[in-house]
Amino acid sequence: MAPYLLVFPALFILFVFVLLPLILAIVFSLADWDLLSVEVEWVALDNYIRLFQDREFWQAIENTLVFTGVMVPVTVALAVALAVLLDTGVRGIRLFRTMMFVPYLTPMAAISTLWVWMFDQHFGIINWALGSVGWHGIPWLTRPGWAMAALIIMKIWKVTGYYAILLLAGLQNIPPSLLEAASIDGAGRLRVFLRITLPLLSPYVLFVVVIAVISAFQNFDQIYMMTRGGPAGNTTTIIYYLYQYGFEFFEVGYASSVALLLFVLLFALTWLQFAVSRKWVHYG
Amino acid sequence: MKLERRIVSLATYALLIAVAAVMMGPFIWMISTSLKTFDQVFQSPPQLVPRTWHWSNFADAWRSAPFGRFFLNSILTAVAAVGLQLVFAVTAAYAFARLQFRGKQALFFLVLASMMIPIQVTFVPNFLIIRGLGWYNTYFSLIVPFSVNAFGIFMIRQAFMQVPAELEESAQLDGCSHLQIIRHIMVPLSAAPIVTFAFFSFTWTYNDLFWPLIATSRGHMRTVQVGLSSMIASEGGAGTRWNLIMAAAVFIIAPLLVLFSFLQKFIVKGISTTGLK
Repeated sequence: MAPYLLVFPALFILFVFVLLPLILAIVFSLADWDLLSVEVEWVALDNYIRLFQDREFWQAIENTLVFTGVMVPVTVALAVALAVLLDTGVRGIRLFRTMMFVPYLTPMAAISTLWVWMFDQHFGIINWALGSVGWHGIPWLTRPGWAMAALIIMKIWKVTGYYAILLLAGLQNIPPSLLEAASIDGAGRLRVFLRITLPLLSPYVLFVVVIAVISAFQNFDQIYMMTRGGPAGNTTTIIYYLYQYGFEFFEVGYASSVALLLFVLLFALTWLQFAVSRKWVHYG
Repeated sequence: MKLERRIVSLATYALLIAVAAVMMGPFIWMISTSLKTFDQVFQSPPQLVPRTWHWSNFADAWRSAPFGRFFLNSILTAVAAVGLQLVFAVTAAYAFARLQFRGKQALFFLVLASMMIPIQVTFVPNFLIIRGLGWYNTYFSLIVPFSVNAFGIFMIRQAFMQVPAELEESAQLDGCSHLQIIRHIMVPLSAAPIVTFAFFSFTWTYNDLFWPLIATSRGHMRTVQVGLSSMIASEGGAGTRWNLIMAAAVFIIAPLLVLFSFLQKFIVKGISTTGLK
């Protein structure tokens, strides 16, 4: 009896607030139901058909892929470089490692207000700095393209340090004897890094890529605080689209179909990453 | 050889300082802005260190919205959610790591499956569930849906599996109950991962904007993050008082940094021992 009593509370709550909602989302997605009216009409796959015919939804997919496709590779590359830098044993390295953690810990909402201020077109510190090298008045946050760039830059700043710390744990697990043996054999630093360090680090890199993609797809707070999906829908990602239909227009059925599509897309992407990883990840 | 080593370490420092400047710069700018007068904020060229420090901005920001209440809500929510998560995770993790029972695999699979579901996918149904339960605009809606964290169960289970079996067996011979074994053996030996999880979970709950935004609508149930977002919405436009907004951002971020500096040692150890592979 004891084991069941120990696991029951946890499983009960997981069931009610995580698994049951997923099942409910599937059921709701088959209905035309907005919260303001009481009527519920079963419409089979109409919500999904509407979804695929909606140009704004396609734009949301495109925006999500642009955000993820730029943010993830740049972040991971920077994080690997930073991890190597943090792996050096120079004095005071602990303090530097701690600093890298801070942007990740701080709340996205509060930090977003800081970056809105820094990106301010007329009085922001970023445009002031760029102005001194001849770039004037960049309309961050108010012009399509620039707004997306601003979001990506800020997100990279926020997560790179944390990913570097995760990768650092991987670097420190590599037996120093392997690296020594290679350099005794006359391999240069770069060669040792590319041929030995990087392959041994690859499981950690895969982990970081997977969580970076998930975090890019779930990036709501930043967009809500910095752009509200604008200008002209240019930063409306799938998650923001879900928020609009679920909690601004209260279209329960339609929003549920968006949620499920987000789930399926993320699941497929994660699976794809593991499938492709067989080609580049080495488990030592 | 010695010279080369010195050059390398100098270059390393130069790079580290450059990266640290990029990571910390925005925070310094935030603090700098929070201490300026309204006029100084829009001065050109911008000043990093304002001539006079206006500490009164913090008091003004605090009064510009019911931040006392927002803090109470945020801290209460985060502490309660993390406390419940720890209790439920530790007991479930112990059963999954140490006990044999029928259906264990299937039940553990449920835990893993809930880790795979992006939390926002559940928000529309959960919004209806908490409304149906009459929990809209109450602490229940902010706490109960997050009172179990599948990732926490998984992480603590990993830690419990590493505890040597002999310790547990000798405790059983001494007549310890399951709860005593959990309290006196499992938890103390897994302190680093448990503290790490608790800290991250506290951070996630305290930092979250999406769920509190939709699960509450009344001012007195808002959390600090939602409170800040409405402060900006009401400021808006050309005359935005950035000094006050930055002051609010400073006191919203500060508690996390204080907590982190206290728990740092545990967290560094927790990240390296729980491993990722």
